[in-house]
Amino acid sequence: MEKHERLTVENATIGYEHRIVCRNLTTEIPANSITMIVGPNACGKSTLLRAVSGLIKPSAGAVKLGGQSVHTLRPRDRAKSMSLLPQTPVAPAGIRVAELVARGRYPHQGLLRTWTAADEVAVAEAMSMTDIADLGGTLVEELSGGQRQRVWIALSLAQQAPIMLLDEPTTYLDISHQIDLLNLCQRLNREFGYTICVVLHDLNHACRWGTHMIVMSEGQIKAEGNPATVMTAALVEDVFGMDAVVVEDPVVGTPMVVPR
Amino acid sequence: MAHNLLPVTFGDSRRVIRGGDFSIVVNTRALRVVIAGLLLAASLFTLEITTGIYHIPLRSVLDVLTGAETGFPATVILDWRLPRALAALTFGAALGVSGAVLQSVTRNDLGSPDLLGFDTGAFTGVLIGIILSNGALGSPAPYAIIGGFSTALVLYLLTIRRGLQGPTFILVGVAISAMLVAANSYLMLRMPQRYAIRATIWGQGTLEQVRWSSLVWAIPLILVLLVTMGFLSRSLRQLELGDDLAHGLGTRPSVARIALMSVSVALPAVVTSVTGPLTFIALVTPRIAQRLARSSGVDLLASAMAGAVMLIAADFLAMRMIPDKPLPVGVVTVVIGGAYLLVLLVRSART
Repeated sequence: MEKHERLTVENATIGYEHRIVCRNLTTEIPANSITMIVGPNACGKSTLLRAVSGLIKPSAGAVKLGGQSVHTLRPRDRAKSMSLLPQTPVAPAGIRVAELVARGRYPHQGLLRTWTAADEVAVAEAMSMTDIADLGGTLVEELSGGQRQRVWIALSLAQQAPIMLLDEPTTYLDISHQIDLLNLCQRLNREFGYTICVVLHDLNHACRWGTHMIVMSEGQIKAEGNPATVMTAALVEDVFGMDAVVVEDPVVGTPMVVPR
Repeated sequence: MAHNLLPVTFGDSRRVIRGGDFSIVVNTRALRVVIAGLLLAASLFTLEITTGIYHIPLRSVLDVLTGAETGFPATVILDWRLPRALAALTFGAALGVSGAVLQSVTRNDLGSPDLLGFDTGAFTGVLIGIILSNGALGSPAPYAIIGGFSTALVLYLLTIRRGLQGPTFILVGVAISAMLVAANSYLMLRMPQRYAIRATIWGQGTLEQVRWSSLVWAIPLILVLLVTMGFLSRSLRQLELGDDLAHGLGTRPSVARIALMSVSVALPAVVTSVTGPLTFIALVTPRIAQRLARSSGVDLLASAMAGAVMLIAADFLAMRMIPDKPLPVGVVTVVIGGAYLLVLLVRSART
């Protein structure tokens, strides 16, 4: 794996053709963290992730990886440092699991698309970490939602980029598969040192599995830092307009938001 | 981590062929389809060369090819049948690949160069060339390519807001195609009669008039385009995963798409400049190839093979279906394609 580079957003103004979503945004995705980006709908959290991944170019300011703008990096080099799992990736019809995971090797492969020993190890490791090692020959369309999401994560892992960006990875999963996925992220972070940045809707999941948190509202960052200090009733009131109490999660002691 | 890893298995009909550090994953089913296609193409090729009004036994064909026979059989084979059969194979392959790539990029089974009007547009270019040059058109290819690309550009500009992947793109393409067919008829009516007759036959799509003079540039050009497409197919595989993921994997989706589409417009344009519009090969063959090869996404090699076999088979049929009355091959491909389109539409109406 490439070494971890600092991922920073510096005075960035981000938006689409006719609409600016975030103005003068400055933040950082700390190395070796699980950073959760949370906030109400249309607050700009996915937009921020898209800018961080290099999908949209800030009209002012910059997103920098190791001091260099992600938009001036060669796309392949960027892909070796940072992987992106979008909200709705597309699995080509008739593709098998191993074949799809192997697509993650693209930034490491030459023009002739050969299958090297390094590719084999990376794909095997990715499939083993996500517990899909025995599904290699299965058609992706035959998998359950939870398994399919594991395959996508495996594709990102096969990319062997130390920074993983995930856009709402739990949205289409039932609760037990959501927890599985978050536990997987935690393992990847703790055991293998991945930096993981996740856009997430569920505040309690974000507090429990995040080591760092960026709370957004109306295109601005309202708070950032350790969930234990960031998540307060006042913040929930301010950002979501919701009357709530913040208690300790009875299992791990992280903040838990309970609506009144 | 590495010590207890399971080897990666890709499932049935996928085999890793190893050679030292560099190996390759092969879809053995696709390989079998390609080999079967090659055999079928070779048989049809032999049939097309040896049979006809003037039958030439295989041994005489060999004599002609080695130069031992230089009489009338040599003229029939070298000047008439060989270029025609070679054209059928390469042009068919070109159309198959173009259709496969366009259908993949537009994510639509109907997104093929013929339905979108790229062939018709290329032919419009040729007709304009004939008129401008007063019938002395030396090489129609540049006109065909300009015609094809102009059509693609107009389509692109008209649908830029809706994107390539939606019904609008296809419907606008079909509409443009229909208008171009009308424009072509008008251009042919405006022409002096002596060019118009030839243009009318040409307009139906025929291999009858294929001569070495056009193949010497058309075949190399198609081969270059096909090899280019082979290299571009890497990014095609990424685009299949959606633009965002393709970007994350280090592809530039918009650049890749323009490159892929450009080659897919150029291929049928080159074909059209020699044969006139040969419709429906590009529409039909990629899906057949994908079914047979059970590939993930489109399989370019299998599509090329299927296109080659289908065009030479259609040409053979067109020549022999009615004794002594050869039809333009375009008539046969339209019939095959029309039937296929009907099946496709009825099926999609049901779901």
